[in-house]
Amino acid sequence: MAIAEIFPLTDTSLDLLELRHRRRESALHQFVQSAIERRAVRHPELITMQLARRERLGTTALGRGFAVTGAWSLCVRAPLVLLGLSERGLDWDAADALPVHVVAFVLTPGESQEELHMRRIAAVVSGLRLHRSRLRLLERRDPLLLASLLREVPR
Amino acid sequence: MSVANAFLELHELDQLLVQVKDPVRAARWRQMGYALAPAPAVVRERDRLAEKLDRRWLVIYERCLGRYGRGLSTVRNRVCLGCRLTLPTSAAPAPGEAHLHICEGCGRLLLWD
Repeated sequence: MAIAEIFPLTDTSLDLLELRHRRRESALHQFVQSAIERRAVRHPELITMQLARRERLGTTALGRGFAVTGAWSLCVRAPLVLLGLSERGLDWDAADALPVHVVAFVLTPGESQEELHMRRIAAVVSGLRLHRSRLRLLERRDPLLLASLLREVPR
Repeated sequence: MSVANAFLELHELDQLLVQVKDPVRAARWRQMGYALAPAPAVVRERDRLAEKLDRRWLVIYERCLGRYGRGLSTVRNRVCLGCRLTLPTSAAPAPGEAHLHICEGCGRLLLWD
């Protein structure tokens, strides 16, 4: 009997997430937990610390209710982009002091080139730059819309 | 925390700090809209962690960091992902062993997957 291996048809390296908390640290923890479930990280406590340290070097909020955070790290097993949505908004220490409603979480394995991580971040920032696109995501919470907005993100 | 994890944390801190210290990288982040600033607290954290580590391993780590930009490399399927050298089976640590190993090819500290 021949055994065929069936691969998932959907892109599992991209997903939407409902952010339950109001604090940035709690949201980062939720992102890491979600990445663990997807087997994308090893040493979760180290990556959580790394994300918190990154925020201390300067907020990852880009203004107008939007933030892009993440890590290029040896603690990352597989590339992953998670998009967290929060109806109430999170306190992300943004320069414009506005609450953040859309947070992208970009993980790139440390074995990859740093340039790849930069390109992934730049593509996510560019894909979500338009306020209109982010509003559509908040309204529809549609993974297909997310995939189309982030189609330029290198895998 | 095991010695290997302590070096992994040191590596992660170094990679983070280089984003701020290197003007080319910092400029790229600024271009994307990020405001990065040196955080003395993070630098102090790095120094404190380095002080706790064994001097012999730290010298090897820092030498490789200076030479290759990173002092640590992961191993997958017995291949050092830093220099792509296939390591001998005997080089693999016993299950549960937290000792450090050095790549015979590039000299980096190895982090077994």
